[in-house]
Amino acid sequence: MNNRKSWQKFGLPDVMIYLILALLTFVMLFPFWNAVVLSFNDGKDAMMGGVYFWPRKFTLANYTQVFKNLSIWRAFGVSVARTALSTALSLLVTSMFAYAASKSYLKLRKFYMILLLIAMFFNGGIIPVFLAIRSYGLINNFLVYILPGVFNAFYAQIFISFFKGLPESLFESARIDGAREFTIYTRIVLPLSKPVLAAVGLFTAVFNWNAWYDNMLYVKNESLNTLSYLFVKMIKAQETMENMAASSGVADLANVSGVSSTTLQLATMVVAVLPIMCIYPFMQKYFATGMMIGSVKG
Amino acid sequence: MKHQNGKEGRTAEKQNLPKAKKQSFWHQLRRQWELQLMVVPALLALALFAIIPLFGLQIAFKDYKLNSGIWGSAWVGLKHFKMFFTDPNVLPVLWNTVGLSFIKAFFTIPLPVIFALLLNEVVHTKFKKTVQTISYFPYFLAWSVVALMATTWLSPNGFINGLLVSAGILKDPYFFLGKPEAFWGISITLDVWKNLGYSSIIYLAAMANVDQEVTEAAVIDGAGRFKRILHVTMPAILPTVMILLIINVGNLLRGGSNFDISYNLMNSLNQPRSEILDTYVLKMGVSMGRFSYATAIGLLQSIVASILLVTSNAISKLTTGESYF
Repeated sequence: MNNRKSWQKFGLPDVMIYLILALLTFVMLFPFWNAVVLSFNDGKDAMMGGVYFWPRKFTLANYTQVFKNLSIWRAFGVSVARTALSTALSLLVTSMFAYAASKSYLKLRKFYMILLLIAMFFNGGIIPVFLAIRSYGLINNFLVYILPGVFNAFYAQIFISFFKGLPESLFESARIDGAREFTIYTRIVLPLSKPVLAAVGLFTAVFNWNAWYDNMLYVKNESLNTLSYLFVKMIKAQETMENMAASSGVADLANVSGVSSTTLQLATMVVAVLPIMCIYPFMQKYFATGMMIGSVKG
Repeated sequence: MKHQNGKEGRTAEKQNLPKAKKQSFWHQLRRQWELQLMVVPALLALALFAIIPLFGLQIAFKDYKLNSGIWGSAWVGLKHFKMFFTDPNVLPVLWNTVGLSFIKAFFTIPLPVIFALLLNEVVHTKFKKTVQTISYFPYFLAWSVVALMATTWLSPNGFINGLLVSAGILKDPYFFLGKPEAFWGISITLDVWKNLGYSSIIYLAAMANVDQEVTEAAVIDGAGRFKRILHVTMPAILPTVMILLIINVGNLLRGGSNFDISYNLMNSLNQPRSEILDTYVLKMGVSMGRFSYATAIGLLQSIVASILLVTSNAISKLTTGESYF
């Protein structure tokens, strides 16, 4: 498609702009591409370096290793469970609150909104939150992935402004028909809110899929590790090894590690990123809401 | 009494006001019990994970002991704050935190603007869409994933060393992650790589709001591409730029991506330049069990952040008329 105006001539500056953008796109894409390529390359061969655009010694061995690895499967399961439960519960709790809070006649509304603002602008910080969570017995507990995020003050604001925009007459007629608030919420409000639910849901899901911090801080139990956290552990293990190599002056890491775990790690990475890759292009129409979320969050 | 709800109930109230006024607060609360019930789960979560931790801040002024708990530990006044200012480890950590945030902002604010300006000049929708879609991708990756890939890219046998050596820029592979002096550059580059595309969306949205007629009028008046961008496009995105600038100043001690990158890529070799306040707090608190000291540092961080935010907001309001709040 071409929506060029008559006064816009496609000149040399345009060619330059297109070239710069093409180059930028390459720089954006290539590092990830290189990681994917390495995941399809033989481990020992990759250690020699020089693999850039295409596998030099193509193999699926890394992936068969990954699929045979029980702890990766388990972490995948934990991540899926966490993402699904968190997203569903967070949408329910947050939108339910927002529906009630969107009614101006809700008693104690001001008090609730003040709590909401406090949650948005103040937080205890790393240690007080850690101590609170520890006192609730959530350490080494799967629920620590879900409960702290079950209500999101920023998303609540978005829901509230959306619900306020729904025509009151819809609820009016339902009430005359004898519908109760909860029925109105499930039968009328939620179906009308599909776009905003989808937007918030997708961002919540991506956030949960990518989260590693809570795992690092609150969960030491290996069987509860999430996929995203496995990478943190991989980096830490690798760094220890590389430090040893650097301090002993050995440049060739192959001598130290024997077998390359890098390609294996990258294959795990591709498996973890695949769901994101499939979802994010469809999120583009929700970016406006996402940016709003981002700008409120600061 | 038959349960009455919502607006119906309100009209009834209005019709006989004196009676309605007599209705007790609890009575009214009970009448909208369903709405009130819908708020309960959210309030519980708020109380447990947002409000109660705020009370935990008091241990910054106490000597927190596990057995005595938050409330039972003894008050020690400003002991931990004094300790912070005499802690010899703090100065380099503070320098890393502020320096890194500052230099990072120098890149992460203008570059998305430039990227958006370039994209805005593209007239071929398909090309534009492709560039955009690809540029958003890294934003959706976990920082742990990006950090893992970065260890591969930057390793002595990674593609960066490979390219630099074969181009003759380096003679031997450079151990990027083991060199303190390289860390800030790595942190900034990774942030730009991950967020450039996504950050540009907000500017593109602002540019899309520019009236085509204004643009055309500028062209008829003889404005070239450069003047058009300077006088038509830039003013449209200035408010957004200012707000992001204010937020960034507020985050000087708590920079967005700094923690994710420093925590994941820090090792004993690059630690002199990669340790920042957030990782230091974590180390002091969770690893070493100095909860009170770590809380005090966190509290100081928040206070300074609030002061910076309010100040930069006021300055921006005075100079450009734009403000965040």
